[in-house]
Formats: sequence, structure tokens, C-alpha cells
Amino acid sequence: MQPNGQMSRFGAMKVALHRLAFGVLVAAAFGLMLLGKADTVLISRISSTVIDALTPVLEIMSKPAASVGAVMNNIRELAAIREENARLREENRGLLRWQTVARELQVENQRLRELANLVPEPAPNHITARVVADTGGVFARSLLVTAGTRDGARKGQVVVAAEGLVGRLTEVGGRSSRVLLLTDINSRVPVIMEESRARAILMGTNDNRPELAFMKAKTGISPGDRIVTSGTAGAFPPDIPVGVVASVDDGHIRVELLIEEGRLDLVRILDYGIEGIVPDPGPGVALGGR
Amino acid sequence: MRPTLWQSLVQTVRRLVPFVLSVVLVLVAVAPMTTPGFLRAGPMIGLLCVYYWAVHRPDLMGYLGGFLLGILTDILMSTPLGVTSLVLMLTQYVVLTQYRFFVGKPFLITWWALALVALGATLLKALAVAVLTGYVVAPGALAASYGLTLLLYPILAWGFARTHFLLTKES
Repeated sequence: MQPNGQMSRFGAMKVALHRLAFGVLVAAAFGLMLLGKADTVLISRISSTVIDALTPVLEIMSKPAASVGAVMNNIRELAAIREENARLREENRGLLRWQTVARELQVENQRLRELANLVPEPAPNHITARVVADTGGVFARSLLVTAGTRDGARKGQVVVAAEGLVGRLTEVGGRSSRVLLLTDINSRVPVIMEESRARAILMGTNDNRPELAFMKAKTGISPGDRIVTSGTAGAFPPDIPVGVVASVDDGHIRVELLIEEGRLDLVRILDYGIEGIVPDPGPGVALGGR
Repeated sequence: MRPTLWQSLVQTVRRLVPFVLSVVLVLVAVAPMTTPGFLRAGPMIGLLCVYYWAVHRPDLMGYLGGFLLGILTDILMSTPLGVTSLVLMLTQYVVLTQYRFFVGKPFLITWWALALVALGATLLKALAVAVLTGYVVAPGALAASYGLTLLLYPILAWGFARTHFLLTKES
């Protein structure tokens, strides 16, 4: 009987410890939530440290994932190769015409700059970084890239891809950084319509198509209109391509971005020496709470 | 007979396999796939991991495992720290208190039960984020995340079942 009694005592102790662990860990989770509201700097530092430590692992994992993605893309592209070829030939003809026009304009532009004695704008320094994680989800949209303070990355720097604007750095660790994407709910970018020069703010909605807000004259805006950064408020340099108007309904103007967030592999972090005038809120859903 | 140091070490490593595998899956889920749309609906991989092990081998994934997996998810996904931990631990708690219901049940029953548990977890997480940040997620986005979570379960459960089989076979 005694061993049985000991066993049941041991079992009861185990259950009690299990319950205690649950209570302590739930309290710890609530504690972290409150800490996140009270001390954003500390939470940001913890986050950067953990991501820094995970970056080598994420980098290793991103390579086979990219290979799988490339194979899937190849299969998809092979299925439509004939149509794609015809489309590219047509596009190539158009682009060759544009190349001639661009060369003429380049020469003309150069001459006009010389005539006007225009002070040339400094070319930005840049760092190229690999995307190791795409943390796009329901609550936030961001990327993790392999460049940190040791590479010269700083909070607030602008991130671009070959097609256009990607976002800006919001958390910078030693060897990794978080890029707040334009589609994130906390993203606000001053933009301008390339043709009409109407100014607006591009607001992320955690959806694939961000929205244009604070626009004075919404008339005359139609799908296909190009949007570039305006440079207002000094947060972003002017004239970086952003996207095109995708739809205009009921006062809501949705924008199709030039970049495909899910397909980014390498990005460039530009240093224009712009820090922005608004203190950075941090990525994700943090703005409302922090 | 007392186990040797080597046997104890092997046993400890074996007990860590479910947690380590879950961490790897959470990291794989954020790897850039270069395929638009894939996994961008934000499936709750951590929830699937803790649910499977809570149903089949609760001793191999305790509350601490759920807590740490939640912290990792929150850091990666930029959700307020502690929210996913709370959701995962409550999921474990619900499954463990209903353990008799789950024992020996066929896969379809556990999948159906997951549909209920994941619904609660999705709504709780959205509510916690809304309270902490003021951001209310669109119902469509929540439904997509919930749907993808349910769809991924059979694949993950198959992989976990293989791992579970190997762990049992080796011990």
C-alpha cells in the first residue's frame, strides 16, 4: 500500500506543479503585454537581439525556401511561355521606342542643367541586403533583412527594390533589420500623383493594396495613374516610384504597388541622410498600443 | 538499473524534439517563398504544433514550450509580446482539461475539435491585439488565417505523427 500512496502523492504534486507553472506563465504573458505598453524601447531591444541571433538560421532556411519558390515559379511560367513570349516581344518593341526618347531627353536634360547651373543632388549611399523572412500576416506586414548597424543601417532609412519603394527600417539590430512594408497598417508615406501633382498620404491597411488618404482633389484620378514619393516632411526622398492607382470607388483610392512583397529577394537600403520628423513608432500593430 | 549519462542525454534530446521541430516550423513559415500569396494569410503554425502535442503527447510539449513558441511568433510577426503565448497556453489548457475526449479518437474528430479550438484562439488573439493596440483586424483576413490554419493541419499532423512514431520506436 505504501508505494501506491507515495505514487499518488507524487502524482498530486506533479499536477500541482503543472498548475503552478500554468499560472506563473500566464502571469508572465500578461506581464510582457503590460511591459510592451510601458517600455517600448526595451521590447524593441529584446526583439532586435532575438532576431539578430536568429538571422543566421533564417538565412540558411531562406535558401531552400527560395529554391522551392523558384521551381514553382518555373513551372507556372513554363505553362504560359508562348503567351509570355508574345507579350514580351510586344513590350520590347515599345521599350525600344522609349529608349530612343529617353536618350534624347537625357541629352536635353543635361544641357538644360548646364544652362541653369543646377546644383546636382547627392547620390545616396546604399547597402544591399538579402530578405531572410517575410513576416507578412494578419496583424502586421514586415520583412527581415541581413543588414544591421555593423553594415551602416540606421532606423528610418529608405528601402527600395528594382521596381520601386519597399518601405523603411523600423528596428535595427547588429546584423539584421526589420523593414516596415508600405502595406503595414502603421505605414504612412507622403506621395504625389506623377501627372496631376496632387499630394496625398499612402496609408497601409494590412491588405495588398494600400489606400490614398488626405487628398484634396479626388477628381481626375483614374486607374493607371502613377504615384511617386513627394518628399514632404522629409521622411522620404522625392520621386521614388511607388505604384499605380488600381481602383477608385466611393472616395476610396486603392493603389497597386510596383513591388511584389512576396517575391522580394534582395533590397537596397538607401542613406539620404534623412531621419524623418516623426519619431518612429515601430513596426506592426505597435502604433496603436505603444 | 540507473540510466547512464549517455542514455539520460539521449532521453533529454528526444524529449526536446517536438519543441525544436515546432520552432523550425515557425521559422520555415516566415521564410520568403518568392511566391505571392503563399502563407501570407498568416496561418497559426504555433497553434497547430501545441494542439497536436497536447492531444497526443502532452508530456513532450508543456506550457513552457507553448510560452516560448508564442514569444518567438510575437517577435517574428510584430504582434504585442505575450499575446500568442497566452493564446497557445490557453489552447493547451483547454485540450488538457478535455483530455478524455481526445484519447484514442480518429483523426477527423481531432480535426473537427481543432476547428473549434482554433476559432476560439483566432478570436482571442484578435481581441487581445485590439485591446492592446486599438487595431481591429478585418473579418476577411481573420477568416483566411483561420481557414489556412485548418487546411495545413493534416500535413503537419502527418509529419508530427511520423516523428511521434520514430520517438516511440526508439525509446
